[in-house]
Amino acid sequence: MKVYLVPVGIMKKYMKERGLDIEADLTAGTLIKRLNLSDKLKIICFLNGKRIDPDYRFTEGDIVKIVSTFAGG
Amino acid sequence: MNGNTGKIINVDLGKGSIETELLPEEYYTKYIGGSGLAAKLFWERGSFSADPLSPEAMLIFMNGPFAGLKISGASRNSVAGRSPLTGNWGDSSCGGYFAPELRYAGYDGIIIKGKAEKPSMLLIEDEKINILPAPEHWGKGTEEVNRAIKEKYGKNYRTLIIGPAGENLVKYSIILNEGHHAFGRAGFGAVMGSKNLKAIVVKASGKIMKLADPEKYEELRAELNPKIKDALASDVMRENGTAANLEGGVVSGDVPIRNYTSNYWEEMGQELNGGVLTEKYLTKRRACAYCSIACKRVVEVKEGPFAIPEGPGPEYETIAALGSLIGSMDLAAACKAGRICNDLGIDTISAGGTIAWAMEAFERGDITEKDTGGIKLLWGDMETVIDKILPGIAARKGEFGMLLAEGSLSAAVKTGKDTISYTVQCKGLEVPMHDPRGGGHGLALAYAVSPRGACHVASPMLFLEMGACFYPEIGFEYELEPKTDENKAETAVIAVALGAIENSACFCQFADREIAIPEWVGLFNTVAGYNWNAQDMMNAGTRVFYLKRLINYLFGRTAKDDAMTPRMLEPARDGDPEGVVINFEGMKNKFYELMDMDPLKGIPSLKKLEEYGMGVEAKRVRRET
Repeated sequence: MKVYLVPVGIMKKYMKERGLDIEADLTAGTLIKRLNLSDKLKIICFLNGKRIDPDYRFTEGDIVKIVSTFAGG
Repeated sequence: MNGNTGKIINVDLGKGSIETELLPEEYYTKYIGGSGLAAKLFWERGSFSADPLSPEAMLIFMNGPFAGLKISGASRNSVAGRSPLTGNWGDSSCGGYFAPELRYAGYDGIIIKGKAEKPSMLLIEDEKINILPAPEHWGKGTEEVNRAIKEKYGKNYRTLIIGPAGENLVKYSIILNEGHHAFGRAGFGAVMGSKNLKAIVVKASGKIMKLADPEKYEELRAELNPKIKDALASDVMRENGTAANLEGGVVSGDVPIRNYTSNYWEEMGQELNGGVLTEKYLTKRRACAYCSIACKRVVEVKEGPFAIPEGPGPEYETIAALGSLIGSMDLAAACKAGRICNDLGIDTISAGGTIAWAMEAFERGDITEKDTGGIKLLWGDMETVIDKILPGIAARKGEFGMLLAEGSLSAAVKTGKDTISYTVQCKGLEVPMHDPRGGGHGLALAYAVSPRGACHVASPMLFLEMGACFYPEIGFEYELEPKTDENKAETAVIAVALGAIENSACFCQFADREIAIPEWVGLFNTVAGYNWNAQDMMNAGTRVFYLKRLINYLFGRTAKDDAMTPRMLEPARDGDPEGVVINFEGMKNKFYELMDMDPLKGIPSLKKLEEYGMGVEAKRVRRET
């Protein structure tokens, strides 16, 4: 199964936009761990404009926005 | 005294008098410094009946105990007093280079009263302090005056300057350091203007500081500076500024759009992001004194309708307030609008909030061209904002300039027609550029209970909700889910104390988010010799928060003023937070209970005050109310 990862904002510094072949039952939380990014980034994922939980299971062709909670003041 | 000098300057501009004074050490150990110590001094010496723009009003500048130390983020300064914008307690923090110079000159702070007969400036050169005539600077922008002062005295003379807006008593006027760093919020530029004080300039001849335990301090400094410098957040802001993740904030629904009517605008996020600023307009990165983060931007827009020469660039708040909030996704326009606000001496957050309110009022037909002097107010029309509205506010030009110069709450009250329902402010202070519906619900509580009004830096709630820092030593070791009310009141109890510590120590939140509780305590003890443990430090923070609440109470503010305006409590209309409603009253009630605050008066119980060593303050409240 293929999903597409789209880094947003500061995440562009840490990963490239790309398609990824994954197992059918992979959760969003596991996928994020596999990306091996710093815990400090506090990553959350969005699909079709809505946040998805870490236990969300992807479907074919999902376009997932990868966002850090980092905010400036 | 260690760390602190213990000495302040008292200036009466009406009498032309200047005196120095030594403060009791207990003031520092109980109220730390910065805005906390300023609150203590206002409580004792300030007038609760004086108009903030009258000669009797007190204007207080105060350092924290770490000013002048070579630690990232440690050298900010607070300005405080009664805010002309809100009528409440007000304080505002500024980085830059004023705080260390004042410390090296031998002072922790300055209290200014009275009104000079003619435009003046205050010049501090170690023990030599003079009030000088400054008619040549009156009416001029901050950029020109900053340049002129440095040409006359030298580039290392550190400046605080107001622009024409401050002179014209625009209620959200700023005070600018070195032409780049702002005391942005609550309108203290107007207080300086009301005193005919155009500038304060300081130069020290040396850099001597006395520390309680220099050796242990050096050990701590050697640990802290690399920790702050190498932190991921510091790296991100150094590269792309404080707007580095604006685009991510848009996806989350944190970034306000068109007066908080929308939480999603994808193209805007892509256009206004900090990385775009770096690519298109950045010429240099700049830092406040001794700071390795260097989040400040220097920009140049070479061509187009919003071309500006190389100079100070915008940070996140300005980009959003003079961008998405007023319906624009033009980054060059935000750069130019921010530059103009600096030069005129206007707070970009309150300016953006007030203009956004006016644009919505125009769209709804609640104000018309008859009210605006023929100006069409259209979302995203940055040429009109830059050429007409901002200069009109600073000059109080016509009825419309007068209306907007008072801020969104006053403007809505004067306009009527229920336009107050779509102001976005707490206690009269326009809300900063983080929408709690998309960013984190706890931020709504933090905005509402902040003594100065809607403020994202009164406490670190924003960072705590995003999981940027944890403090297991004081019980904050749990992950928060931003878009719920769960554990937010409990977190706010810790956050208001930490925020009071930060703002009293005059530390930058971008740097101190990397500092653990034992390191905070270590700094206070090795620098100032307070001999604290973690609980002592947290108690001092809570004490400062309580004192500011008492000050507001004597100004007539009660629990009902800890409110969010209706717009913030409406369900979000789109984006990730669409349909979400904040359980504001639930969080507030719980917070009041945990803080032992009276649900009507909005102040702590007398028993609680006594517990915090504030028996004298408790007696005064009992006596005067």
